[in-house]
Amino acid sequence: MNLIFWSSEKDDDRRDPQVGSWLGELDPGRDDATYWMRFHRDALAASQFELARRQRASELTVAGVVSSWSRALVPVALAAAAAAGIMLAQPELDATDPPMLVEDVLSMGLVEPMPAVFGEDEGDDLLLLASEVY
Amino acid sequence: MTSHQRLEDPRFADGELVRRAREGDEDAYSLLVGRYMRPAYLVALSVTRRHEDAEDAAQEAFLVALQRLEECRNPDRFGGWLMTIVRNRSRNLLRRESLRETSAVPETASSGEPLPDRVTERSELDETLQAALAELTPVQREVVLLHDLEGWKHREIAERLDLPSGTVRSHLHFARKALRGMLEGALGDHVKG
Repeated sequence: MNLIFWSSEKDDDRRDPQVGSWLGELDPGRDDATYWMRFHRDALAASQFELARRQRASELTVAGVVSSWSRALVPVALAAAAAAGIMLAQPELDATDPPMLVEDVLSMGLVEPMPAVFGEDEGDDLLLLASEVY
Repeated sequence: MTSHQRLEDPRFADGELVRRAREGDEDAYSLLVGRYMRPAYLVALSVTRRHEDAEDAAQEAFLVALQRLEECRNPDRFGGWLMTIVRNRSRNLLRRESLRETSAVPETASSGEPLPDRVTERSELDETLQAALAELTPVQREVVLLHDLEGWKHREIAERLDLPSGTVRSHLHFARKALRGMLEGALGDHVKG
């Protein structure tokens, strides 16, 4: 591939008028003064839907999102506060049967004697247990 | 305000217009279309070499560019990014056309009615030009059309087509030389009249 490199001093960045005149024949606006106006109008018409979508999306700012949340959040919070208030205002439940505590649950089996698993008279059973475990 | 003054004004720089268009600003998008519609058409024409296809590809490219505006990583270089889309859409269109042509029934070229002189003359000119341009590579066509028809500078072409400046000058030199060789005899001053 042959490449020629020009120095900036010798560089001529002007149009070639003859080549430009030939190529001008390819410009659709040459014989049709409104061609580019129509092209521009058509491009904009085709983009209306996308532009509108973008406008709507850009309107969803952070403040907008927060305010839309607050509109739903405030009534829910008020309803929850009212429900809590009603529950607090109700008379206390009868305390004859207090709720069971965790430590009671854990110590439940200890008050009764442990079953005698390894009794002296059960030598055969011990062997049986060992064979099952191992 | 002239288009040149607009280009100098940072409010109308590509980057700022792209940022505004991302938010759906129609005026900003309109300015971008106005700025790049002719170059987009010429780049499409370099690939498709048919007016109707070039028009379709350029129109399609503007819509695709708007839909994918977030993918334009450097909004200040919107022009180059858009030209890549134009080129790709043009190639896709050619591919679709070639698929259609292989399955289509051939049409009769002429209805038999004589064409008006001016139309005949134009189509002859067009054919000669198209034949000459067909001898160039697509990138040579892009460079010569953007420089000698659209008036872009070497630097602008290099930036927007993502080519080294020396390569742009080289392509322009060979494209002009080839066109002169093919068209001087055939057209001469014909076009000027």
